[in-house]
Amino acid sequence: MKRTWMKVLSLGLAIIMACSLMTGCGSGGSKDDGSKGSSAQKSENGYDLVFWTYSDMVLNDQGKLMDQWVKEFCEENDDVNSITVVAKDDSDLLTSLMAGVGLPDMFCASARDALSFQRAIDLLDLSPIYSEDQVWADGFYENARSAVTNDEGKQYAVPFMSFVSLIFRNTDVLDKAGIDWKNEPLNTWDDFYSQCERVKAAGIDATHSWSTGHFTCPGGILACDAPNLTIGHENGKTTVEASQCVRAFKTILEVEKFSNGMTYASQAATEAFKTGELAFLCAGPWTEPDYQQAGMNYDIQLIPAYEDGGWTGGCQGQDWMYGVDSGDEGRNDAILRWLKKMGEYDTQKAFTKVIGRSTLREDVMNDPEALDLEVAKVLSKGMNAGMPQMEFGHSSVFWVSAITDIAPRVTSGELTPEQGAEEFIKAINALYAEAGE
Amino acid sequence: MKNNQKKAGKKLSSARKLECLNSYIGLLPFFALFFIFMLYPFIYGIVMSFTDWSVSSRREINFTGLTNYQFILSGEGVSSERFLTSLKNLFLYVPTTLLIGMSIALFLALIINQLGKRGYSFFRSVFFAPYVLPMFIGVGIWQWFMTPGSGRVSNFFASIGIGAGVDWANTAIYAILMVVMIDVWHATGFNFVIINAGTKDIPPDLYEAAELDGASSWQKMRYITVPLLEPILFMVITYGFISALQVYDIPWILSGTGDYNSIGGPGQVMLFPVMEMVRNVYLGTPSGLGRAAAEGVVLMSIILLITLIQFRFRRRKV
Amino acid sequence: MKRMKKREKILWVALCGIWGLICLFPIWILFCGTFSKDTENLVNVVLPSSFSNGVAKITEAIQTVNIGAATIDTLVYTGFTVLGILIISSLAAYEFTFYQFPGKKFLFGLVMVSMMLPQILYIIPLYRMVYNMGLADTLLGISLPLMVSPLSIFILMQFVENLPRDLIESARIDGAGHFTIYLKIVLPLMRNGLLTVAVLMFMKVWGQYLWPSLITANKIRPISVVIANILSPHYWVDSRVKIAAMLIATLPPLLIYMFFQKYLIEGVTASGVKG
Repeated sequence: MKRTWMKVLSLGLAIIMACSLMTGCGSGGSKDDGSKGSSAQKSENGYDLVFWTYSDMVLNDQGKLMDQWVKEFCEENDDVNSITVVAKDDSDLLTSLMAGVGLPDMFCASARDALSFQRAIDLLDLSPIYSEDQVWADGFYENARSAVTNDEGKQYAVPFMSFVSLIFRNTDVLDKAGIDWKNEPLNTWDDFYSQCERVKAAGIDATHSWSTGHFTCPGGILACDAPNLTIGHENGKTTVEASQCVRAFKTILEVEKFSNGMTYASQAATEAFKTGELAFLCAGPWTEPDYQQAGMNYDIQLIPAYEDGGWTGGCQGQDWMYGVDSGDEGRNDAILRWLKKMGEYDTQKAFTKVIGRSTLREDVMNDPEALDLEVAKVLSKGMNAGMPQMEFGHSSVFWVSAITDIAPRVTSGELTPEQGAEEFIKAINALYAEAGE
Repeated sequence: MKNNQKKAGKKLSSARKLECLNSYIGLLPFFALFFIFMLYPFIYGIVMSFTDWSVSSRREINFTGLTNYQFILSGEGVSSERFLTSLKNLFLYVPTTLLIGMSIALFLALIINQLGKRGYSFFRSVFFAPYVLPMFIGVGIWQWFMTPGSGRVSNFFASIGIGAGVDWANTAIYAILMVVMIDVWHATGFNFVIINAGTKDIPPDLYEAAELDGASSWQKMRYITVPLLEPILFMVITYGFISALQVYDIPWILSGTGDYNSIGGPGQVMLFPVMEMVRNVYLGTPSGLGRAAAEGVVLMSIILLITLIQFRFRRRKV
Repeated sequence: MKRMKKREKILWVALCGIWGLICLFPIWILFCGTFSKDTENLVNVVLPSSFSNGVAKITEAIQTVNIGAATIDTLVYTGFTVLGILIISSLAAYEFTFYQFPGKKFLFGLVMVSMMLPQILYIIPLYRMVYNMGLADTLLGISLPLMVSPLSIFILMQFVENLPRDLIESARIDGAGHFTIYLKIVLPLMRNGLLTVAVLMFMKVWGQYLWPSLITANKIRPISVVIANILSPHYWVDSRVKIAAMLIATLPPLLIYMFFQKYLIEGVTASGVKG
């Protein structure tokens, strides 16, 4: 009897498995995903598109802009009924896209994952909108243009926004330390050290740790050497050489002398900065409202250069908009039109004007009219000198991030800057090996 | 006569069959959901651990045998080094957090019964509160407390001679202790509630009898409560092991910077296996998903082994 | 003797007090942080300093992040899931504890093993399957996979393990059927276990992030996803608003716990009469 039961049981198991197989549990990718057809149906009233984007794009001023764009687009295009904007944060977006089914029609996401997206889903070929309108296409920064173009010469994304890391200076603190900040910008690292010394002498913490927790600070320092770095990879190895990075590690060590030990972007550091306990804060441009709200006085600087007028540092991040191939020509066409609108001069100008964030259109970032806000002006300068965080669109290796592990070992004295540079190169190569590039 | 006996036997067995059938029907809802929503996708995951499965939908999936396993256990290459480090961290973390966490939970569950009704219900709510608080916020506030140089708790520890001048979140061992601290703070309420509910099932007359014999509170705990709590304690500890081995969210939030290569902190001081699996899923490397699956299988085997040992141990003891 | 007892009791209260302080202090700090002026260092606040600012932050949290709608959505699917867990798991615990049947060991082994599966290992195939079943962004799609709770079976089994078997036998002799015994006898005796499971599973499902974030889109807004959204490091939301939003998200589970706890205590006193 026991055996019979086991038989029944295993039979049941087999049936359940077969059923789930038929529902296509793992049948990989979106290509053979039949249910996508439902969204590809051409309803009589037009398409209902779904757009996934960052959460902040649906909040406050950005949210108003987005609503306006959606409204305009639906009015201009008879075949589009509605666009549903779904807010997702970075990891939520990435997980959902990686899962490979149930995808939106368009999405906005980091350029860092561009290659993963290309591999994981059927991205819509956007070359038609690039070839039909040269003026439109030529307005983007050259590096963004080539980054969204794949090896076959086809474009699969529209460059949208970008940022470089900034230094916010608490000018109340600088006043106390007797620094004439209006006439003393942070042009060079020597300026930075000298101001740190004076802040310290006034009994106030100068800055947070530039080595722990995140690549932004050490990577930003490394980016000051961007013109000397032979960035790229060959035969699975980075073409950057250790000797090119030594100066960066020396600088990291130097800056750490003025650190109060708090981690980059930690609440503790931010609060200390806002309440006048810290003079310099390295942060992304999006944190500015925080300082405005705290009612403090501050100004915005780029990460300093080594010599006056030299290359200013900061790693540049980019966010692009992508389309998903729906398999339906009319629908794809509507998606293309939306993405084109997102890349338009007027759209990106409005974005920079209202939010102050830099976009990836060079013509917008050089248009004084768009640069109403102080932060936009600084970012516009930074966009000409920042180092892209990685080879966007052409490599999945986030090579700069390897510095996150090495920088604290240099500042703790475990490694000399020279050893640190060697270890850094080794760590980058390990990442290439892992990615199989 | 013989015939009759046979008939009775058959009847009995058919009644028994019906009884068994009823049992299977009772189990059906659970197992149906279990097979469809857990076992099947899971077996799919195991099978994929023997392939070069990646997020790439265009790439064909090839059967690669034990390559993934060989790789992750070889100690060569980033993922492998990271995975082995994460296992090392795990073997330090699990016993520490369980020993501290369980002792506190058991102790609290026992002494709270000695309080009056009001004190009892007040503290019961208080002890559970950290567990209800979303993990993000709990971890976030501990980050404030442990800020190097100015954090309340790190300063307190420094003043009693522990870790003065140490940046806890970025220093080996200290980082793991920080995770233990937050986990104990967070999870003790959970274990406390189960253990305490268990103490309520102990018949009060046992205590009354013991009191008549002049037993002290300590003796009552030692000789009545703890032995009768054994099934519940066993369950709590077993489950504690299982979930501690899958530790993930606290260190993820503590060391999470949006950059998957630095998950686990500098030098992977607080990297644990599940975090490394997630990194492999997100990174989008060739055979990344297959590798993550293989890591999952290794982790699961460890969990399985430890749990089996626990069950063995219990059977022998009881 | 009595004096000893009193001293002992003071000691117990003191110890409970210390742990209570450890539990509550971080929450107190969060509360103070929300009710403090914008110019204060949030990390170092010890006392609330501005009631009006706190109210403003809470209002903003409710308005901008849509916490109200998310709370309702989350309550609905959490409640549905917990109900499912209670029914499914109590049935399974009943069968496993009181009956012998072929394959029992194997099946119980499966339950144990299922507790050990790291979710990340099967979540992507699971998502693809549920999506292809057409259940994405539906109540069933989010809840059914969460109803598989081996832990609940395990907890419930420990709570009935010590029950006398003759109870079942005598009921059977009285002619009660298999499922009547479950409904009329075992379920009431599982009360403490069921309440415990309900509370714990409510917390667990309420706090779930990875699965709800994958399977929901427009129709259902899980609170954990809403919270994670405002916590992203790549854009700015006022820290006090974030804390306020998270404190609001804490309220429903806390209330549920206190509500059930009351019943748990009452249930205990009732069963105490029975001995």
